[in-house]
Amino acid sequence: MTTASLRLFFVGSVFAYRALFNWLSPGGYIFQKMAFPLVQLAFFALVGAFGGARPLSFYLLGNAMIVTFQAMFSIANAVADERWQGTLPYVVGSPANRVVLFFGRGAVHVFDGIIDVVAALGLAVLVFGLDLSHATWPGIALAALVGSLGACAFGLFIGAVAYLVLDANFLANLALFAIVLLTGANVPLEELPSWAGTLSTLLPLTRTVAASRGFAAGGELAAGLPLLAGDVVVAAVWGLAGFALFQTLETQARRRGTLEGF
Amino acid sequence: MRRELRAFSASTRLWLRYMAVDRFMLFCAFVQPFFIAVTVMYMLHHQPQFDPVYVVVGSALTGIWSVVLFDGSWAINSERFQGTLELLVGAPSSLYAVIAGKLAGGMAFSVTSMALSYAVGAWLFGYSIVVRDVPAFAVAFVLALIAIGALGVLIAPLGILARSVRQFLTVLEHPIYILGGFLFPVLLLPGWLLPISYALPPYWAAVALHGTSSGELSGVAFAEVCAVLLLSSLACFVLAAPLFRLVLRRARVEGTLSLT
Repeated sequence: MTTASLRLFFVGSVFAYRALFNWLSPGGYIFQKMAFPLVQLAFFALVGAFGGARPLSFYLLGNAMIVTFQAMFSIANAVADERWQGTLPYVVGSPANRVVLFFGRGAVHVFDGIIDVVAALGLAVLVFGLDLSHATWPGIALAALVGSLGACAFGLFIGAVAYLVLDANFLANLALFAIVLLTGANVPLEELPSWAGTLSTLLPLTRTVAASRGFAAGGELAAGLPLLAGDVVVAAVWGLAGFALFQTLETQARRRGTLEGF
Repeated sequence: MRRELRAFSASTRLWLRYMAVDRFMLFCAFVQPFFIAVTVMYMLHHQPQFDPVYVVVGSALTGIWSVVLFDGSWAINSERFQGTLELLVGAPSSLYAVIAGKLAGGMAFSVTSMALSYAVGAWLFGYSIVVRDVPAFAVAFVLALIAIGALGVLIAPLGILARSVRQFLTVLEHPIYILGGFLFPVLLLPGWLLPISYALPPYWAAVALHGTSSGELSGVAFAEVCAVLLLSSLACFVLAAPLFRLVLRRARVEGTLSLT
């Protein structure tokens, strides 16, 4: 990768992030960005505690990983909003490396997602008394990183699909609830119907949730790494699928002159 | 009064048409309650005393609240967004009647989430969904809708009077699911949160609907809950009135409505 491409990757990523959040005050940032996933965590943890089928830590850890998916909304909008903000023709017309341009949209959000997980685990420990005294912290940190990567990759895919269906928020909300239901964060995978179990394997958080529970219980890093590696592969597939779709749509738009209408 | 009713009715009809094609509202009324109902059915069905109607009612309440919350914060803001707010406040019709009409449309739209939650329990999971006290449930349902709608009327002017408040309102969705005790008893919450729950109309709406659907709320206790729902609705309407006057003042006297 050349210096120019590296610069494009980092500058593009930082600006994609700042365009979404720079205008917010710190209070606004916390409410908009962090409060929603944290209260969602609290809600499902309390429902789980009421149900009593699994220990509270089962729900806390599952939903702490789900908070990374807040980044999915940001990235999906950052990609899809190029059209609404009138900047899509410049993106398509620029000579910039498409891979760098596309994947750069999500880079800063990966780290932002990790901050969300830290906040979620803090809430789980301080408010719900989650015991992480035996946790394998490098494993937890890796799980947060992989979960966040998966969220960003999924966001890139949804952002590309939104060029076709025109509503990134609707798609991202739909994806979020599918993730809440199907990744094992709230419902054990063995309880789901077989077709739903198959769907869960295609989602980029299913193995991370399982790995994080192992790490929180003090499991060895090596035992969880294959699970995390599986989710890295799934995330890569979603990200590449998003890029392939973006490329296809760009080619079609150039060929047919339908940039604002594909 | 007749003029206000006409404005109310026209606003309700127009808003229903608007909501029927608004993807976000369709999501709040249909998709979200569906996913919450399915997820919570799986999470609670191991309970020895599991009652599927509890999940149906609770999930429907989440849909109703989400529609009211976003509808309430969007009811006035949509006018500003479309550039029609100044025309609306300058018209002889009451702003209060127009916004209340919009929220009534939203409430009518949100009722579909109850039907959807019922379908999840009865058809997807094959449970027998039985409401034990149907007449009392019907009364509770109407009063609950009025109470939650009244909260929406209170929220509507807040969103336009201060941008910071609007940011806060958009994340109130799950906190009310929690404080309202829609899908678990509020006794699971820390004691210091309970007074907040008791002060919220959605909590009493959940008490009334869960209580009548399970047959555990009747007689004097039911009458008391109905009274609380009516009083809380009245309180919301009374508290909203000066806020609407402030909106009108900003528009007509200060000319600063679009600047907030």
